[in-house]
Amino acid sequence: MSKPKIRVTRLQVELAQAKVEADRALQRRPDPALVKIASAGRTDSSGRLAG
Amino acid sequence: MDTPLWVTVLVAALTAAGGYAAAVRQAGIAARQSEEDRELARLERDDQREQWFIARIEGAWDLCRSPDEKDKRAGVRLLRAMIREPGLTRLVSNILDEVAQEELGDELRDLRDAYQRTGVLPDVDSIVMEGEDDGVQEGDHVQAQDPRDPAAG
Repeated sequence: MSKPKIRVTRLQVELAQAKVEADRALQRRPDPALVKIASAGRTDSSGRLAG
Repeated sequence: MDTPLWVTVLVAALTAAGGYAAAVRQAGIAARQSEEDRELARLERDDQREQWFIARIEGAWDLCRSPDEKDKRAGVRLLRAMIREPGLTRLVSNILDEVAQEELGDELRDLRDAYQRTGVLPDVDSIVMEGEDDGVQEGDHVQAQDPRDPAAG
């Protein structure tokens, strides 16, 4: 049986990545759910979403 | 009547001392003025810098509220670029919270609910991107992250 999927848009991934980055800049533990969504985007060496 | 020599010397000395004191006073005033000018210029620069950031943040906020997804992404990127700017991190984070509230609806809520119930994220290893120029295709497998992993947080 296949695992459930969540569907997120590119905007949502970028937003989650930005929020995770902001939390880290504030030295807070990022929301794991945001980390999960942020991890959906593949990034290149500069940290940008590969397009 | 001849002026005694000592009087002449005294007058000359007093005149010189007065001139010196006036010169020192002038130099002090000039230095103070210069310092004030520098301080004013610094304040103006700081003010311009602040105005610049305010304009950028307002622009980013407007883009984030646009109905167009590309605009929203541009807004998020603008905000992201300012995250590490001293003094702006918390403000940018708060704005991102507002945007996330609107844009990350059910997905985020479901993940959070499951995480709060079980202490781990749900076993979802595929996150499917949708949109016009996605970088991730359906079926791409995303490594599930342990939320307690220090690398994840």
